[in-house]
Amino acid sequence: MLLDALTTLLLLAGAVFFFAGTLGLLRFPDVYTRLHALAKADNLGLGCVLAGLALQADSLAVALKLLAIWPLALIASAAVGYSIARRAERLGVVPWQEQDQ
Amino acid sequence: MIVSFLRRGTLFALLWLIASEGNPAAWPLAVAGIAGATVASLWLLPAKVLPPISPAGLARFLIWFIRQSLAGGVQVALLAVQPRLALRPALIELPLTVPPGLPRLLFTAALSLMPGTLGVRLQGDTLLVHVLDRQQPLQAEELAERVAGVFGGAR
Repeated sequence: MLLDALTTLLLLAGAVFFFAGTLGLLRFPDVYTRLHALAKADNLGLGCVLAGLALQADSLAVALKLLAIWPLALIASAAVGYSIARRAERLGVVPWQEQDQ
Repeated sequence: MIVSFLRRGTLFALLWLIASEGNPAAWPLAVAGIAGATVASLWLLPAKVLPPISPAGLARFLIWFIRQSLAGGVQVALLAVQPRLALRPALIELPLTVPPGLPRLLFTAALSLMPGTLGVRLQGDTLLVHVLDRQQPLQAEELAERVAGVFGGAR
């Protein structure tokens, strides 16, 4: 019962973060700010979803397997985010600046 | 050499155990996979270039890092759902105090997952960082200290 409630809560939180990350990807003005949205919000969403699912696992091995996905995805996300940002900077993409009011 | 072979082999065996959910059916594949992963790991990251890792420092780092990445996700999510975009981005040159190699890699990767910062380019002893809000203080110093703690270096 309590586990189910916790799972529901974590899955909902995960969905919210994935939604916000996607919204950021669509709304943010340039490649750098979009990378922020992807690298941070989506990773947090993934962490919530995995934790929520791990609570429902039938065995410890399955739970650990689900939890092992998170650090691997974090490493990939940090490496890919850095690579895209570096490439953009090398190609001369100037970061977006807000207009003075 | 033998010690680090055994240590990494144990780590990969544990990973295999988790991935296969303890099913012993594919044991020849397991032996080949674990041996292959251990050899590749020692080849790509030889034991002598790997600074000693402090387990307590690593645990402290992970707990702190999870809290930071939570804060980072919440911050960027709030920025994304706000009706008006409140971004004040900038590129900042950050002088690095962490030693080159694995500590610097960990520093750059972790910084990209923390609130408001994204590593753009490592060059020499500086890291070009993209920040979402240039008025928000960087947490680079604390991160550098914590990374030093992972590698047992008292700084």
